[in-house]
Amino acid sequence: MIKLLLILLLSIVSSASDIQIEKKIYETFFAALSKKVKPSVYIDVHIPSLELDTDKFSLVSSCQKADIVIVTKKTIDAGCEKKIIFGTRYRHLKKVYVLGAFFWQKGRPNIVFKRQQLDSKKIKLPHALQEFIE
Amino acid sequence: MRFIVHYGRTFTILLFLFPLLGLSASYLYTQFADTKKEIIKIVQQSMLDKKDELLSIYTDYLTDEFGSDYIKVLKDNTSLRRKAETSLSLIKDSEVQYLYLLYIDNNSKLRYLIDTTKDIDEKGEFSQRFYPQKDIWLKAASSQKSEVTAQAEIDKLWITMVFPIIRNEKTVALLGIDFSHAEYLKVNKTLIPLENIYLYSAVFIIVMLISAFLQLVIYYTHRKKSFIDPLTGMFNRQYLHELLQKYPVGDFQVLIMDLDHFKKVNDIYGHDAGDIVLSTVSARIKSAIRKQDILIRYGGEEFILLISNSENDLETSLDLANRIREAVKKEPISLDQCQLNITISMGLNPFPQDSKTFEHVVKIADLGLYQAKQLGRNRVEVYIQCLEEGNVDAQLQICDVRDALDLNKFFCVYQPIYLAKTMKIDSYELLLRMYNTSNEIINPAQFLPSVRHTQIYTHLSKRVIDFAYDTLSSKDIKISINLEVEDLFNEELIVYIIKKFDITKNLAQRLTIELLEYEETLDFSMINQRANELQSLGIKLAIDSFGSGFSSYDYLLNMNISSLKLDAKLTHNIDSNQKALKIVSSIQNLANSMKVTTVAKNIETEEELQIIKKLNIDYIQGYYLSKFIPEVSLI
Repeated sequence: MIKLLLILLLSIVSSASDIQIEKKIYETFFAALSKKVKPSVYIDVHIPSLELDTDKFSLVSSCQKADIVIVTKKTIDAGCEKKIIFGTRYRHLKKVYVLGAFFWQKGRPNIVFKRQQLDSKKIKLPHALQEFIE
Repeated sequence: MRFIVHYGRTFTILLFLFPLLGLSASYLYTQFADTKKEIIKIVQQSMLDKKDELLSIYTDYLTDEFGSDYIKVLKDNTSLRRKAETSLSLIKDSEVQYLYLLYIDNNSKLRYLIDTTKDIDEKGEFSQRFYPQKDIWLKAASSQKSEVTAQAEIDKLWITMVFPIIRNEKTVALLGIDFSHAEYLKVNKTLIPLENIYLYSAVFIIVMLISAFLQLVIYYTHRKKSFIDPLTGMFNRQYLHELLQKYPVGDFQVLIMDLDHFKKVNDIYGHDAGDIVLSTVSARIKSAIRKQDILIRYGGEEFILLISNSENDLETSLDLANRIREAVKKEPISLDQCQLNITISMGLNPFPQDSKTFEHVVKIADLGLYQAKQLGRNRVEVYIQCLEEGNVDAQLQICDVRDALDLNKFFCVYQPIYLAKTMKIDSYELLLRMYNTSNEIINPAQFLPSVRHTQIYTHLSKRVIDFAYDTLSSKDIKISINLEVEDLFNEELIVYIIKKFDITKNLAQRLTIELLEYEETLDFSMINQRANELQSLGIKLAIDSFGSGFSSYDYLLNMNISSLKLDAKLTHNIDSNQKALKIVSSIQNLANSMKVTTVAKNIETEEELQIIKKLNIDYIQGYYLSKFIPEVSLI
């Protein structure tokens, strides 16, 4: 399954821009992590792929209002630790409150979900994403 | 067949040759592209072999430095990992983008053990999972051999090599090298100048070929246009010339066609009306012929139809000719204010194989056309060739005469005619001469027979009229010219003479036309009518070579003749030929009684002159008195 997902990712890679690929990947995660049809997402810096038009999620301006928080900085705003927090670097996973991370390394996409955070938030990932749980 | 004549064999060959050359140029370039791929492959293999050797040395080093179970040792000891990483970094050079060592965990997943990458965001941390996107990692693990794959999807990378580390026949770790795409670009860049030479050469060749091809297309399109008569849309004489260079004379029966009384259409209704008639008739002829027949506008109102000789007998060709004739006359042609009934006369030569040249084939057809005109027009005639044309070698061909006419190679000389009583020049006989291609002077006996009964003969006669007119206009002398009795039947020529002298009757009064008979004349009513028309202008008529021929006395009986020119056979050697003397004497008596003057020609000796004088012949001419003189020498 993991192979299938990566093939899907790569096939998208070959037919679309990097930003579009990222957007698709994020949409897949958001759908898996939130029960809402259109979860609200907070980003702390400019992330082009998440700023494209979509009906799968909406961006919000404060992390308190968000269902999912995407972090790129070392810290997050106070009161947001309990949100579903997703990192953009491997090192973000070291933060306890970070649930998972999606990042590019050596030109390859990497996805990691932390089992402990998933359990604490009672999130059950679909079968296709379970391969990425650490 | 028509395609080859239109475009020529060269064009047809080039039509196939150009794409072939274009393909060759493209093939040359693709060959280079393949060679380039091969060179890159060789460079790549050399690079991989080198790295494979170095990785092998590195694994030996790990064993030597950290023991045979060095994977476990390194997993447990951060400082030793740093040491191993430093050692591994030594292998990394400009060719290598990423170099890392992965171990296989208990769940058969790949995890970083060592990563020599400096960039913190790109560096895989110890035990971080590595997600392989290609099969080569598992393949290398299972095959226990180095595997290589191209990394087309990842911008920075060129190829990835996976080197398995085996312990106790089990793959425990994998060394991965991602080669930099910059290295590929470096190799590629080295080959670019060479590639460019090939590419530009191929493009240049193709562009030149296309350009040359277009030039040829333009040239041959113009050439094709030059074969078409713009008024009628038929092929023209130029096309016929091309056609005959490619096909033997015997391949085509020739049907020559001439519109009846077309000159009248032009004269009465104008040339625009003439053009309408020509284009309408052309369309009608086209509608009547078959696909394989080749229709050519041969001259003003003259057309030639080439009928393939391989499939047609005489009957078929005659049917075709009559079909054309019917199509032309089927309904009147509408002009602005009137309707014209147009007919066409035709001469067919169904035996082209009997002729050596196409000109001769046309001449025979032309003789048929002449017959058709003589027999009342609007008909098809086949001329049966006679043996009288056997002396063709001594005569010029019809084409030579036509060319000479086109090139103004005709001129005239004059022979004085003396009044016998005073032995003073009374008038001059105008005699036509021609320069041949070697600029030798040719007399009419050599060029007239080949063109007699053709349009060229009419043109020649008109030329003689022009010469006479010009001389009479510039000199105050009397001139006699020679025409054949048959010329009186030639309406076109008679109209021409009348038009020329109608308003200059003073010139006509100094002109005598000497009529010579080649064929027996039956229709004296027509001759008389034409003679009267000429005489009404003041032109005098004489009978040339009287005493020979078919019916000389008929002319005296039926026409108002002013002079008899004695046949040369009668006057030559008259001093020693008693019979000739008696005949000439009786002709002189006859002439006196009919008040007709006499002329003795070909007088070449003093003896002949004295006898002629004694016989009271009125006028004398001949070499003994004067040879031919050019126009400039006329008084």
